[in-house]
Amino acid sequence: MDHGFAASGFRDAAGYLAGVLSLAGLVKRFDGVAAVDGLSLRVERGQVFGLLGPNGAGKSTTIGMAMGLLRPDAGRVQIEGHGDPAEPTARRALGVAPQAEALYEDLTGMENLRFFARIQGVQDPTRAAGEALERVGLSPRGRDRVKTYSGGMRRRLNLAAAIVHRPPLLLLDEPTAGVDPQSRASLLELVRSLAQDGAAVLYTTHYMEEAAKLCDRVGIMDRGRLLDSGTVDELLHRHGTETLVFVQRNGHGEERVATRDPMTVVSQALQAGEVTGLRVERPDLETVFLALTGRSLRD
Amino acid sequence: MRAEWAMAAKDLRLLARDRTGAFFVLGFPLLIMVFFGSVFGGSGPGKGAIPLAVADLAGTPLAKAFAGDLQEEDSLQVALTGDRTAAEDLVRRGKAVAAVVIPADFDRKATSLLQGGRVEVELLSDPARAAESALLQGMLTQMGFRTMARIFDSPSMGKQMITQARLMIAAAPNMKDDERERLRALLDAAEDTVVNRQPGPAGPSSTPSIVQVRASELARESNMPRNAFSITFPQGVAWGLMGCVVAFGASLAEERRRGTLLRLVTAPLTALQIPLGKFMGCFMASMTVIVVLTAFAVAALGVRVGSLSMLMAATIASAYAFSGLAVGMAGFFRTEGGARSAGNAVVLILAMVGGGTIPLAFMPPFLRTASAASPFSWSIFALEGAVWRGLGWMDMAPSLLVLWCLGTAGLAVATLAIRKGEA
Repeated sequence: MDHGFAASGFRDAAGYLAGVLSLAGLVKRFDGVAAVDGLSLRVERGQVFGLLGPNGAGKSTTIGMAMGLLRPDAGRVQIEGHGDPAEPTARRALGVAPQAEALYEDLTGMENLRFFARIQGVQDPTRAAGEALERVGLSPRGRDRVKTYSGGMRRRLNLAAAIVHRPPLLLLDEPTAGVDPQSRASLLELVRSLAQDGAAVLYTTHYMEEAAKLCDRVGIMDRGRLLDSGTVDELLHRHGTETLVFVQRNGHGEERVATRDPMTVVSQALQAGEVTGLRVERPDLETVFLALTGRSLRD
Repeated sequence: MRAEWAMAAKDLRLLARDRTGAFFVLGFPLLIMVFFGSVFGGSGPGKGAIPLAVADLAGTPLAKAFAGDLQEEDSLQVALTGDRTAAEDLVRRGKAVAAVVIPADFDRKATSLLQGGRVEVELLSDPARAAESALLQGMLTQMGFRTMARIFDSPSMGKQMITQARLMIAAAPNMKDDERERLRALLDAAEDTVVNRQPGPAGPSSTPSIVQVRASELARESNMPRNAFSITFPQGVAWGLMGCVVAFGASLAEERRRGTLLRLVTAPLTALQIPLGKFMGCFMASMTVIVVLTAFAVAALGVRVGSLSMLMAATIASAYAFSGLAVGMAGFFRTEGGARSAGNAVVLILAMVGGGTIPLAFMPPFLRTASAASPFSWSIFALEGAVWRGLGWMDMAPSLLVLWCLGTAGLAVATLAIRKGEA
């Protein structure tokens, strides 16, 4: 669903062709401890790049450097070819949807977006705000104050505030955190459509299935390092070769077996008897994550 | 400046929609101003009677009757004093619109009408109350007619007046005898009419009044407030400015909590533009507060502004200083809790020391000296200087300079905080 946004915005925006984020060899230390250690990644136009990692992995520090809020101790951030993300030109190319709903509750949805458009230097803030509201499906509630919005509506408005000035690069920090499944599906569809319109999206999330469904490429981070990145299929191919078999026996706890030959494991378990439950999980991003980090994403 | 204006407009809109915040910015200061003004004995127009000071320097029967006539007038609220200075003081302090001075020789002059005598009653009025002064002149002339009627209605006073006239005629050296005889005959006839007639009601007649009103404006002493509201008006302004500081002082911390600060610092804005936008919002709110309170004080409480240009300078300097204080605090306190609790405590103490609770004019000398540490006292002093202290520009300059420095320093602190904290 285009909403006429692509024709009037992203695709024709100046510098669109160079609309990528490039992080090269980023290092950031706090009190001598490396929060980010030699991280490199690249987000191309029209691409959603999912950055996965447990709490403390270094995702927020990476995003902070990408936004120009933190200066890297080493390495380089480039936004649309601009070497300093704090430059006004680079910042105009950046749309941010923080994890918190960064909105003014006592203003209406329209007023919020018009304000964010103004500080971004948009020539016609009212029109831009109207288009962004329409894009996220909030036009009918645009004149209502944000404090009357549901959680899902706030999330959509949060995203609208990031795109009101039609930036070629979007940094979305867990934009679906805490929303109901229906709103999440709607948000994912929206992010996908933004990428289809040409935006480059750096997307962080805790939800593996969400990343698998949405992201063109995924990077897995832990302890400040990007352990691997690629398409979901590539990662599965490289790290998700073992299937998990969960066997529940009478009087015992659940036993987990990672194997490349699940049929044999199942057969052996059944032959041993006293099996009260059996579950087989095909490899997914969670498996990849476990294989790479040795721990669950939400640990 | 487009982004700064947008930020200022947004903050003002948020303030206007926050009823509690808006009350403490505008409503509460109004209450403070009116309440303390009333407690300290404020008087303003609208109470009906014109406040008039009467100094009876004679204390004689006719003078007392003249003062009594004034006291009986429903449209007058007379404060009777025994000396001229006390009456003048009431006018200078705005307690009376004018002072009437009844001279010591009132009765003697009043009864020498036939010798060409005339009583001169002084009317010393407040230059700012010209309309009421003109009304009072008319009323005094009317009272003069009553006094004359009183003389003619009193046989003893009439006889005394005629006796004095006979003595004067007898002593006149160049008067011809026939003229002297004719005048004696006239006086006999007058004595017969005045002494033997029944007293009638006092009232104006076609006879020229023996009381002449000499009206003049009383120069106001520059270092006296007109009324109690003149003192509590700057005090109310201080509370209004405090409301602005509290509202805007926590705004950056609020933005940080909401996450909207992230949007601001990732927007194509410089480190100065964000506090400048806040500063402008606070400046406009402060200006609005001062202008509204001033308008209310002048229109409803009888406060008179000594110098409009100085009031404008004091208003702008105060709004500038407190906007700087607000954004400085906003930059200094990173958490909303810190900004609200510690910030409010600091501002409250500064306001109390600076004359926000006890007016500077009522403070003991040592506390007035200590108040120099508070920006509120500089602001109040500047406002008082423009309203009733009658200060000159040179007297005002230190206050204006301090307020300007404070505003600039606050803005610098906030800019550095944004640059250090977010970049």
